[in-house]
Amino acid sequence: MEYCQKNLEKTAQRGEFTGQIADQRSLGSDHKLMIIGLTGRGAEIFRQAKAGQFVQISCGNITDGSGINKSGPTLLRRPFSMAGVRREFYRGGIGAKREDEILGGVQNDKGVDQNDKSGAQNNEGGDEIIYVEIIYRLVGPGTNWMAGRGIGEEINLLGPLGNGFTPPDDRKSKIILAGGGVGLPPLYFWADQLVEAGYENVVGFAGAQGKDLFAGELNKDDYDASEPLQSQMVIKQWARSGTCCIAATEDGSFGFTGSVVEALERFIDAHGDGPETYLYACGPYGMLKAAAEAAQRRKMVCQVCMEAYMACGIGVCQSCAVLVREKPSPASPHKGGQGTQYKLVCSNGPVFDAEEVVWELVKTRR
Amino acid sequence: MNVMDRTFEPDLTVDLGSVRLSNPVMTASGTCGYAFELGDFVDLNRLGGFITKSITLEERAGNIPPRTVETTGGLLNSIGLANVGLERFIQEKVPLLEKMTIPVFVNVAGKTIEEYEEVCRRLSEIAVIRGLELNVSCPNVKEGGISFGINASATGRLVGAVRKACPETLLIVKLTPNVTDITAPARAAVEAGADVLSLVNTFTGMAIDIETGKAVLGNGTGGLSGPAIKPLALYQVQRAYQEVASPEGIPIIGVGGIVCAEDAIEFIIAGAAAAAVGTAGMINPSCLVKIVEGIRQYLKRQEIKTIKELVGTLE
Repeated sequence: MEYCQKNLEKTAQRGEFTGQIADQRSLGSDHKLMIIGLTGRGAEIFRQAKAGQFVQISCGNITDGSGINKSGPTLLRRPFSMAGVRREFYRGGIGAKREDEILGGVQNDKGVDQNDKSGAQNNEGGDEIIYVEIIYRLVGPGTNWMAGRGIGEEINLLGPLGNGFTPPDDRKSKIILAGGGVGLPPLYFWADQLVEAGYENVVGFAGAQGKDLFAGELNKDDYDASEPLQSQMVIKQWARSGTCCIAATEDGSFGFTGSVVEALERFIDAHGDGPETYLYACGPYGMLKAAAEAAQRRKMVCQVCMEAYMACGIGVCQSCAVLVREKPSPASPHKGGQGTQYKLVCSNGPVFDAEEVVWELVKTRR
Repeated sequence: MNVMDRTFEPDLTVDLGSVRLSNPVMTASGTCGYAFELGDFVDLNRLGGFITKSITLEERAGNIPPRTVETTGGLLNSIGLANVGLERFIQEKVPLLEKMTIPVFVNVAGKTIEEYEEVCRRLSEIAVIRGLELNVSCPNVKEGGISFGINASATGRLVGAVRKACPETLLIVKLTPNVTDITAPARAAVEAGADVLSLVNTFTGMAIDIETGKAVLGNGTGGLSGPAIKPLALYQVQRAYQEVASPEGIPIIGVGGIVCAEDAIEFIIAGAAAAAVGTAGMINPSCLVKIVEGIRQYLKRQEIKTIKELVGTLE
């Protein structure tokens, strides 16, 4: 990669990078957290990543051009949102014990090489290591391959890709972050960035099917189960930015019993809403549609971070099309229907204004 | 074999008719966008040539999603030739292509012979476009919706009409592999005036969701690409080279599942003058230049002075 990257424009805000796994561990029964350390130009670029953007991870080497290892389990890369992009590396957990667990950049002993082996174009970023956090659910050959990788192994990725969330103009705006299933991670990163930018009024809603199925770490010890609709420091990944949240499970095994959107509607009924409330949602299609409808009823501004089956993730293959409303133009009749057009989740999104998406026509694969 | 000088640098240049490429590696249509979409990930100007995605007369929104699904070693797609259409291509994309320092070829698709003629005529007037690649796999709307490319005489009529519409333009014809005998459309294309053959396009296939009993792709069927098709594509290139291209002196662009230099070299030995990389470049853009380097290293190792010597050397 060295020779192909060096001539690229220095202004590029994305690229192909190889990092090393700084940590990997299980979260509940279905999810894993992988922390990837990037150095050099990778660190420089990812330092500026925005919540809602994603990376495309290579799960094997079938197309790496070397011709020596064609046994990768997947042909396509797999897209993942980022749960955080941080300068420090926390080994054990994130949250309560953080002071003890900061490994302090290049002094860490976990195998992230201080020398630039990242395959990045140059060393302009110095010795800085940027840690990209990925929380993923084990669903198929790609994620199973990832789960089998150990600390110190290399991960090749493209990123940061797509467009992130847009914050409200007013730092005093009420902000609701609602994540369902494996849609939670980008909202941890968004809370980090909102709080750092001075937004004061951020509350999270975390949904899962059951208590072992949260895409995050539950702070079960300090949780007051008698107040499920009271925001608490429930999820450690949100707690690091001081973001309280409400947890909801479909089976009632933890927190509010019901969907994450039901929980937030009950919360809003109790605390009030209004046009100054911003809702940022990420999760499966049904949840996003419900969030979009709730936002419309309550006149909240709503941005959704959408998921789609992708091949390239970089705007080339046109796989991840989603139907959105457009101003009618007789010059460009579209097959999708009157006044609609396809946009690409990978490059026009993955964040869209909820009112822009034609929800009834979003096609999903199971 | 003579002991070669250590500083020996093999000659990688390739001639596609009147257009010279600095090396045999090209992008395959549909996997690299209109111009610099891959430019943040790979220096495209280090390739031999660039082939755009398919351009049609009218803008096309594309097929109903899902549009792609991964299969074992392959990618099945039914994008539906989503593209901005001729006018917007000329206004918005050609200025970008003008910044490219390597030869640029535009892939053209259409529903009728007249559409192909019109699009090709307009594009042939643009200086930066060094040649046109005809995607003949599209349904011929005026003749029952059967793909032009699966019928030798329809292929010949289409190529002949475009040849007449743009007599000076380098004409590449990209053949569909969904035929019993690839040599028939290959011969028809050459007899009708094709300067270069490019093969293969994707193989028609499908995937079924066994839980719903429905096809996975919104369009039902799609075209298979990726390493899964490489042996099939290689065979068709070898056949077309032996039977048509070699006797007629027509260069072939080999396409189909190339992921590394070794794959590209196989196509060259089978008879391809150049090798286009599609699916792999979309997944790992940097592999495009690694393939160029890999070919260079191979020629050095084998002490082959020019890539042209290797073309069609299958024993």
